[in-house]
Amino acid sequence: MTTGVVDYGSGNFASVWNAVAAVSGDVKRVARPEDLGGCSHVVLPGVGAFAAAMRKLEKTGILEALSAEAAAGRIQLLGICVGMQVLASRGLEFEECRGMGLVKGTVEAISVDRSRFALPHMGWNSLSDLGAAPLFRHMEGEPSFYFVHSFHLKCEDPDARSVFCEYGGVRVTAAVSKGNVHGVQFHPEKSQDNGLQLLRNFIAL
Amino acid sequence: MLKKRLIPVLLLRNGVIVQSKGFKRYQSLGSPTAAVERLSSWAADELVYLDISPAPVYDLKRDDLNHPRFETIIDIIRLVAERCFMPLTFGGGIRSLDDIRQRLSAGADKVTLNTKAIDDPGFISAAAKEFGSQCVVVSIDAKRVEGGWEVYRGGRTPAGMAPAAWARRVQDLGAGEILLNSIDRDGSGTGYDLDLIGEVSGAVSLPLVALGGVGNWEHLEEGLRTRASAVAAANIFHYRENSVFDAKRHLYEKGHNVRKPLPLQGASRNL
Repeated sequence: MTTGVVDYGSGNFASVWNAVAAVSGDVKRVARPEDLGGCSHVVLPGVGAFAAAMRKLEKTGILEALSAEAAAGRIQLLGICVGMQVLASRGLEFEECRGMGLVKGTVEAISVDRSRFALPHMGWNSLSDLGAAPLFRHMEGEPSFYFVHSFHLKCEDPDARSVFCEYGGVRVTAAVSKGNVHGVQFHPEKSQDNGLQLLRNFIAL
Repeated sequence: MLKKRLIPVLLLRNGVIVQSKGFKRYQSLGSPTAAVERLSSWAADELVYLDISPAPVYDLKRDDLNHPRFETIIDIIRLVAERCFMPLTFGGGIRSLDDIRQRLSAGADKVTLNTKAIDDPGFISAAAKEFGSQCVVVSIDAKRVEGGWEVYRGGRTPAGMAPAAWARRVQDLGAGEILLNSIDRDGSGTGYDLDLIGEVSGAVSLPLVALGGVGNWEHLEEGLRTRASAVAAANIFHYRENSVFDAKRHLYEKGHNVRKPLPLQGASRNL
């Protein structure tokens, strides 16, 4: 049960690494495709713009290997923030860009009224209607998580399940799961006890 | 629903955490990391760490304080980030994009700019473009003057601007948040300068963090009734154990839109 954390130059690698290491004794840095070997779980961090993240992932050669492993169901994959967004078919930030296509959907700007609601959507927001989502086990009520983002994944995949929060009257995608592929828009590594619990839940999958 | 935030602020001066009064008098409270341990309960929503050292000297060259040795603010950020799973904001001494890059890669999520922003407003845009608006906070230190308020550079010298006008300008330049501190109320325990908060928050759509003057939990409530997105305080959280948790519980029980506080559990918090 080794959890890999992908290091492709994303700004939040250290924070994600610290949080995963706090809940698991078996963590591995994944900087090259061959590092994926032996990983049962992989966490894909990400901050910044969609296309820039895709380019960096491609450059390290990890993109192809990671997509193949996830598509074949050989790993449990958790994308965080932009790491979640790149799981989608395409992104529309600055330029249209293809994603990994593991979850059918488009990453688009949160459509709030900008004169009344600031973007990025930043701060602690609560999730509702979690149902039996396995990533959110052992959390009471409507748990809050820390968000910083202006874009979100509009899921169009009949096999995927999304969880939402509300901002400025807009239903914002907070998490998505499709079989062994999972993504969270918020930052579990910055969400204190709920964040660490979510990572524990992921590692237990 | 987006919650309002409660933010403890730590002031670091030449290697020790201090209490500040009127930006003039400082009382030492101990090691840079012991205070983090005390304040970073699950009840805090974010931590702001401001380095107000007149010179960049951090190593006290003392072993008797029983804390890890460090020589730079970057060492301190790294230590805090390893154990503190919440958003971290660091400010003080930032003069270049490289200073920001170092702080972010050590584990900070945001930086605050003050002196550099006043001396070179274009730097706000450069920082926002490079790292994103979400990690650029501009701190504004304001002091009451005849007929209003004036912005102070580094808290010491008048900058010749009104805080509301300066706030609008930094918003236009790409800042993502404003940390508004009242020099008059700093360390006074007499409550926020609510008129100042009203004046500045009315001028911008950016999230605003109110700081300066909290002497009891009712003062935090007064802050939450304004348009501020977050209420911050420094000195008051040092007076007793579990203070951030107690403050948060008070706000939650009074029905404010804040995260439900949970007592510390789980991961070790020893720093």
